[in-house]
Amino acid sequence: MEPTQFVQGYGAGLALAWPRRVVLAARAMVAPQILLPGLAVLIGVILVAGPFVATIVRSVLAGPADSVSLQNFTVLFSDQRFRTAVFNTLMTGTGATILSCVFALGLAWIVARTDAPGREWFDTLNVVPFFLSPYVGAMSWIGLAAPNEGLLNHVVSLYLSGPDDFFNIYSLWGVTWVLALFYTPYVYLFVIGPMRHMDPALEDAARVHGAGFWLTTCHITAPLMMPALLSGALIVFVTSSGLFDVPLALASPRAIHTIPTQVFSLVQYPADYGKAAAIGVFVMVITVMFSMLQRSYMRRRSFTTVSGKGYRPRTVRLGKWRIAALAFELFYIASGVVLPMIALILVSVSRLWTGWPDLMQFTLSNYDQILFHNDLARRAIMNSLIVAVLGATIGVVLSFLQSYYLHRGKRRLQPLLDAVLSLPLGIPGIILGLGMLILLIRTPLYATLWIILLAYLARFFPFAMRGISAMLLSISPDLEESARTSGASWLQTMTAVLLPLIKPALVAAWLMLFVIFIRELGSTILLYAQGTETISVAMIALGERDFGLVATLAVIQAVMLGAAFLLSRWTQSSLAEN
Amino acid sequence: MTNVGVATVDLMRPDGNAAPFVRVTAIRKAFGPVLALQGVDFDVPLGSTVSLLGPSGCGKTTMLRSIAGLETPNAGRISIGDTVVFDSERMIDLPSEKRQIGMVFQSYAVWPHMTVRQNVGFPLKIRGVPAREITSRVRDVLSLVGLDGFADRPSTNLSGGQQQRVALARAIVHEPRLVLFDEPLSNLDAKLRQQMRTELKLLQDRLGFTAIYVTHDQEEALALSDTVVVMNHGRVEAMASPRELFTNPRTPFVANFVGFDNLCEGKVDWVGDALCRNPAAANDAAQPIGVSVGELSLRCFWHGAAPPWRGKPVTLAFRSEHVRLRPSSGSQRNGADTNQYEGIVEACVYLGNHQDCVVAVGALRVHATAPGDAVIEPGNCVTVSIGPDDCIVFGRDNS
Repeated sequence: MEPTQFVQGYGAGLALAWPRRVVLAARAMVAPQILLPGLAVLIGVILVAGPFVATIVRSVLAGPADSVSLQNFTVLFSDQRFRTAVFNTLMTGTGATILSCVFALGLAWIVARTDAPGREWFDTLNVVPFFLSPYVGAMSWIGLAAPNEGLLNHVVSLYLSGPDDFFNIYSLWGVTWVLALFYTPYVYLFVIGPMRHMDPALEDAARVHGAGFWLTTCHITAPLMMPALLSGALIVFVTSSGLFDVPLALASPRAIHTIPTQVFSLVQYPADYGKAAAIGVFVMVITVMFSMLQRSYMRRRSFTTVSGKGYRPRTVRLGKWRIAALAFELFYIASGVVLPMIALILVSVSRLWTGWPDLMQFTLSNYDQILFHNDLARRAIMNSLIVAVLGATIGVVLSFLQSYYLHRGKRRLQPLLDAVLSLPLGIPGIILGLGMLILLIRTPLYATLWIILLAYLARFFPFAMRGISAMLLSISPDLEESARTSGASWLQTMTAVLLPLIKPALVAAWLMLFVIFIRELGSTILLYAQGTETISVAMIALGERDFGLVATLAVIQAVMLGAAFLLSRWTQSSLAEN
Repeated sequence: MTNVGVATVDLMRPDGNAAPFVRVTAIRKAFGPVLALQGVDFDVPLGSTVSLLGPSGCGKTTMLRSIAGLETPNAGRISIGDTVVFDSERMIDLPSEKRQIGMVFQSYAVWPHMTVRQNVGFPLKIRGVPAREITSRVRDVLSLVGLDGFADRPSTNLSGGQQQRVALARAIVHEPRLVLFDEPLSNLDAKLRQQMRTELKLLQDRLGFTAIYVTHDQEEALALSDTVVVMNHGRVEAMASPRELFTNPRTPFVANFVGFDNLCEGKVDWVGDALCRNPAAANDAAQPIGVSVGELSLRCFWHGAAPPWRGKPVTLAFRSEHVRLRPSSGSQRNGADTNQYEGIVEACVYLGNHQDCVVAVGALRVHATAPGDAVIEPGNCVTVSIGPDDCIVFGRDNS
């Protein structure tokens, strides 16, 4: 009797316990600290996985009946044009990577470790190309080095009596050159930190124990810089290979194709989505492989070379080589910023561009057209601003909540989610745009600004998440826990403690997203429709009619990006003071 | 600067072998407007260890780095052995790698991309020593510092103490003439620090290298060196043997730095007749004087050269360990003859072996150390006594 009673009692307790546990679990789910970050992660996963899955599914559907097969891939890999495009992409990507590493190492070394004149200025100027749009860069280099009508070619033929097609920007060399100029700041930002903050004792120790300058550089400095340099190089290789803007402007006019431009032409009428999706899968696989390589390499070889000591690394006295260092700096800034901007401005204020500024041709009618009369341009500026402001805001909120989810508290799925949310890093814009297009073409979202916004978010929130996560990890959870133990709710803790602490990272992430969204072209080009053009799209559309108008719009975009750049410098320094 | 002359005399060895191995002369160094070194002179005899002791910012690390060639002074002269490594007048500035030294850095500076063997073997490799010999010498030096079997470990997963040993092995593997230590023990925890201090001392005695050792820890300086150079605001404040420095500091700053934690300002009250307390040391003349500090009057001895006069401003220094506390009997009066005063305990911190007390004697606060088992509570009346021999009197009028 008694044992049965005991069992019954136990069973009853269990029966009671179940609803209680469900209620408790449900209550825990709706607590804001679980609900909001959880929701953000869910949105992130859907945003990332949607285009990926859609592309993969579409790539295995082939034939008129859309039957499942690998036909798209077999056709693709036997296509001579695709092979040429892959070869061209590899050439430009490799060339751009090597060149930008050379530039970045030289510039970072000059700024951080030498007594070259104007180092403080160049530290800021070296990252300016990062803020300019690569498409604008390509456009301006057309103004500089197009055969017959480029400014530089004009100089060569006029003063050096060379041919007036001495430079030909419409070539793989041209693509490589513009990509290298544009991606140098990426590598620069990777290497300047270790270069500047490396514990000087590591080099001092080598000097003291008998190694001279060159031996120290070979045995100590270079190996210690390697992780940062290789990491930057991998990223530049993947992203520059996938960039659509520059080959479109410089290679397509001569019928030279790279992978991104080939995807673009496959989606034009008559569209072959199956084949385009096959390229998409091919690129995705390679990109993900590269980012995994980079991450595992960084994990194995990231040294903490920074110590708490306040000594700055010793600067190298260059002596007469200071002029050479200055010339190197000026060469990069001139090629990456000054000459392109001069070319654009000259083209934008000329009635007719003939390769040389002519006061008789001076006009402001292009600006008048773009700002007050041209519907397409006016609409595009408005659309770009809406998407950039809205997208940056949503992106920062999402990234913050996702970072919070990944780096606060015990989450069993953390490594997996981190990997999934990092998938878009390095995926070319046009490939992600293609995925979005395949995913949403039959929904009401198609042909609205929203589909562009979704594509931007999916591709770029991991960038924002990197910075915010890094800052979140550097802040001890004790600070939040002490707020909780003082009686603050989770939301109060967020608004009173955590958000003010990571404000610099949030502001930096917002400005970065704003800049990227203003200039983005790759993800937009397959998704825009009549009425939802952005600035970059409008430049391409106008480019078919009038180079002057394109240059004008480019100048306006550069002004917007320049404003964002100044704002970011200003906020960084004022936030750093607080 | 007047102390330097005195201290150089201390450095002279009785056998007359005073040829210095390292000679630092009138070194000056400014970082922008900050004068880090304002004319530093000292000598290091061959085979001895000299400590540069001082609070942070006193210029001791800058001095060491100047000797290493990692910092270029604005003026002065440094020679190591027969080589002048720096001379501002003759425009000599030998680069670090030519100075034939070894150095242990505060952050250890163990190269993270090399194994322990590569780290330690680096000075030999640079000097073109054959690989076979490098292997055997690295093995020997690793066993010397207690790292047998660590040669092939990557240097990134070593503990602080192990990194310290690697840095030490690297600094001595090429048998340099001079080894420099830049606060090598400051990043270790207290227990490990003591252990490493002892090991370092043994190693030094065994290998007999000349060493210059920078530290802010007086115990480390006393334990490891033959001579201590106390620095303050970029100047040499004192230079003496550890024993001399500890018992007979020459300035209030040095006194405070080596543990004279009671410093009070007063005036000479009365001057007695000079007497020779120790006939064996003729120069140890001591003149009994009275010093008034507030309303108290203390009896102590004057050792200075210039005779004191009534009303001369002085600084009085004594150690808390030399202050004796007894329960108040109530019968004694505050008296200058006995140096016994009535006081009230203000605070007492129990530290096991002893307790640190603050006793208010009139307006004066006296730091005192009482035995751990003494029953002392805040508010107690106690008798404070200070031995006349335990006080040091410094003139405050530069005489």
